[in-house]
Amino acid sequence: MNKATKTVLAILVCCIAGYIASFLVPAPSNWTGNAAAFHWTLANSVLYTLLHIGAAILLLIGVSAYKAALRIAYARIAVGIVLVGLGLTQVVILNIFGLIQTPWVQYGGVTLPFVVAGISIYTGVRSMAKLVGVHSALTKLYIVVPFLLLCIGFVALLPHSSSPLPEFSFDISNAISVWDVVLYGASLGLVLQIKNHSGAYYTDSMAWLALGLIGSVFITVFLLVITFLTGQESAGYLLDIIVIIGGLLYLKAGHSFAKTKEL
Amino acid sequence: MVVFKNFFGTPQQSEIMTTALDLATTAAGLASNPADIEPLINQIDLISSRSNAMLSAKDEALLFDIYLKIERYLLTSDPIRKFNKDELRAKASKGLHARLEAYEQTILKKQLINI
Repeated sequence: MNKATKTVLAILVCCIAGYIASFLVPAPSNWTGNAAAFHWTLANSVLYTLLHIGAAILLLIGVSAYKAALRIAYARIAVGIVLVGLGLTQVVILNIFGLIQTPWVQYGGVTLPFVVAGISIYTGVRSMAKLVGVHSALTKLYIVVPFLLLCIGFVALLPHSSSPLPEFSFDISNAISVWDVVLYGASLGLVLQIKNHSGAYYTDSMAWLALGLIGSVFITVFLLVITFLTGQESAGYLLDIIVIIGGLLYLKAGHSFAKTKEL
Repeated sequence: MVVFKNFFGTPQQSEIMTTALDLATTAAGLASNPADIEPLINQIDLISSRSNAMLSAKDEALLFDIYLKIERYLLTSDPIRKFNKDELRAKASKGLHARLEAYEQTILKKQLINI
């Protein structure tokens, strides 16, 4: 068994341990639902956070065989993946512990991990594409940034169900989702181009990274559509399951990349 | 299933390599920017298409020559990865390794004579 596979098994053991340990945490006094709902919600969020962190660890294990420029590119991707996991978890934690009225949420700090994650993953993938000689419109900021702004503007104008949020806050929330859809989508396009462009040795790891990004695009589009249809941010077990699958895809992407360390 | 297989590509050579064609093809697959070594890849494809199960001595020498050029590229110019000679040759069988080294020595001697 190689080092990458041993690391994946260790990460999965930690994930299961974290999942089980979540059921030992007492429900806070301000929790209005039943205890079971609290424990399942907490356990799911712990699970997908650990999966995302595990994926980032595997990506960082793999980079030691690579040159400095690629290490930086992968470090950015790893940071982005961790922020996706932590960003989703903070939303759950804020809900569970009744922290929605805090300045962190009121002034938009809650969206910061998602904004930075999009930038981090896109800039990492863009650097990687440039390093391997991919010539694509998706690496050109003068194309991607105006397109991004156009999409944000377009979504702000779309009709939607009535929301308890003020219109401006609702638009900001959707703008963040569009931001991530566009940046994850651009990253996905670039990863597919890198997969087709680079040598056969990298095909598997790029294919799995592409699947991870497809997961991220799907999750963000899902959130956006639900928000438009219901006027509220989506939450619940269905979203938890989708995010856990997304985390597993990134974990496999990390495993495939870590395996490229050994020829 | 075919689409799935194409998406993930062919699994890389993990067992011991016994032919110069395997050695050159595997090395070419390690290039992160194959466009840099495209003429060499075309030569491998040409030899592969005309060879049957057995490589002629001339084709094997040609493939060793191509391999050494790809190896030099990987060691000095690959844009993303650090390689070393030993790990690149680690999966060559003892016989193939010996034939490659003998070919390399012959080339070096020829170069020294020319100097």
